[in-house]
Amino acid sequence: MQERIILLVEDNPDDEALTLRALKKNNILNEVIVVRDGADALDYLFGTGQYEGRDTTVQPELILLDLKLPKIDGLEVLRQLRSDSRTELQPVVVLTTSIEEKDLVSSYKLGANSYIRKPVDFNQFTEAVRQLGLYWLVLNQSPRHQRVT
Amino acid sequence: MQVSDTKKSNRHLLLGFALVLLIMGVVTAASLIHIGTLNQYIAQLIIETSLKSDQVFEMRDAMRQRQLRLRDMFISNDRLDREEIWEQHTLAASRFMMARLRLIELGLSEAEKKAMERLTVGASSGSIDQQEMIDAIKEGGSAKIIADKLPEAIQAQNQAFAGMKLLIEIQREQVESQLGFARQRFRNTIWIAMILTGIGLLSGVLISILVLRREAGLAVQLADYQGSLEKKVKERTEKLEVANRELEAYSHSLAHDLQTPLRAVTGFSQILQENSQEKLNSEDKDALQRVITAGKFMATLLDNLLILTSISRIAPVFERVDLSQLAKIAFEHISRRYPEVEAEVIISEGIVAPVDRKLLLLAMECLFDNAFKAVRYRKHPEIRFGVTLRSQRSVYYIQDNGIGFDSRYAENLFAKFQRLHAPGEFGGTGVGLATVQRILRLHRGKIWAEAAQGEGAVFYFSLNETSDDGETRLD
Repeated sequence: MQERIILLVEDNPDDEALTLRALKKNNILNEVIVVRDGADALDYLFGTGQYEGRDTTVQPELILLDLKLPKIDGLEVLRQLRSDSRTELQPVVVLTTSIEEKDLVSSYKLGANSYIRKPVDFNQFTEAVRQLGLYWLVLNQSPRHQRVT
Repeated sequence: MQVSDTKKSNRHLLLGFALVLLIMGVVTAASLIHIGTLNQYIAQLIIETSLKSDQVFEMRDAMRQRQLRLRDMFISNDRLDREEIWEQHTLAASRFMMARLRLIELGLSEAEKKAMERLTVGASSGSIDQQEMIDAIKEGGSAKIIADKLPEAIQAQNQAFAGMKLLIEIQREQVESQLGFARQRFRNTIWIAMILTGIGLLSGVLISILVLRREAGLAVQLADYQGSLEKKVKERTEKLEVANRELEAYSHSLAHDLQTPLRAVTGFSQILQENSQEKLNSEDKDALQRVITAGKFMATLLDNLLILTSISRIAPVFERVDLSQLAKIAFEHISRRYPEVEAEVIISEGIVAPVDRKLLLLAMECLFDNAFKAVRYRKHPEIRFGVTLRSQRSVYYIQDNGIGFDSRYAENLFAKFQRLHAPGEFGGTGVGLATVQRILRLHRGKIWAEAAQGEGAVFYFSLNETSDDGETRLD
């Protein structure tokens, strides 16, 4: 359980609250680490800054990544974590408001595993979170997970 | 502007030529009048001179007569005869006097007067001599007196004749000089007329050149003006386009950014609704439901606005696309949105056109969505896609047997956020058809609609028309 962390990269507190509620509503009880900007996200992943000394062999099971972020944007976070051996294989789901095709294409080119647009309707949002939780945390076999077991 | 300028120039040209003709006319008339007066003057001169010479000849003739009578007097012996001869002699003398008087009456120049004096002196002294000789003959006087007087008389007579000759010569000279003067005047007149005519022609040519040059100048000015005007229009258009793009970019990012707070409003309202079912009274529940419904509607609005504003950011890629296939895909997508509507779809096969696949799919989806909304309360909903010919051009159509609309407002259909139906009646956000129109503009095509209230609607669209104004058209 301790190893199945979800990293939520989200600067908007409302969206954060909605995401956490949607997770809770779907009984996804994994530990959720919330970071509010791209720099914090990278600090957490690579054990730098305020996360200095963190055990970086423990990496989140799922990264929910917003694209529009302060300091360092989501695409740059994605690019950096894909070029580091510690995080290159971690599942990343882009969870965003944007429907811009260039964002979608860039995300996939940089190695995103999924691209989900946040629906305005909370019920739809909850359903989306349920499906991605079920898929990435239950059905999907990640390489690291296999190595550990 | 150009036409009126040409007219003006032509008027100037005509005016110039009229002026030239007037000058030439005046010159010709003046010359003719002048030559006329000269002629008249010469004629008068000739008449006057001939009258004067008549008198001179008359005087000469009278003097001859007197001489002849004097001779008769010498020869005759008969007294009666002599009386008669004397009478004739006196008559000749009076004829001479009369002619002299008439000559003086005609007016004499200074030279003529001198010649006349000489003539008169000769004649009168001759006359006295003759008188003395005749008196001597009458009284049967001595031949000595006659012989004495004769040379004197002849001399006087000769003097008188010389005066006459002089007079005639003077007159001839006068006529000749006057004629020479007239000829000179005539020549001058011709010269002046020729010079003035030349000036007239020259000024005519000059006027023409000036008018033509002015016209050319005006044409250049006009061209310059048009050029600067075109440049200005181009500049303004560019500025306007930039401003439009900025505005559109702003709308786009606004539509994007509004989604986050809207999601919070709607999402937390939904959470509240779920968590407080028992605590809220029916009025509160209704209010909360309204917030949620409005939020969802706004989300749809923002979605459509995002699509509309993103179209102008796309550079279309044209390729031959099977529109029939595209229509089927669009119908599939849209029919999923309306699971309660069991619409029959009839799509003509094999329609191919050069279009941007993604954009046209979006346009067709909008049109099918529109059709679904129109037919959803019909018993046997039917939607058709096909192609027909209008003015020998392919025109594509999506036809439904839905609620239709009042065709008087057909033009409003394609304006952003304009709807012809109340939201409950028809649904939709009013951005869809504006999106279709924009997509068709990118394809240099047009869209228009035909319908009647309650009797279904046909939306026609064309592709690749030559003009690219993209105006909506009503048939």
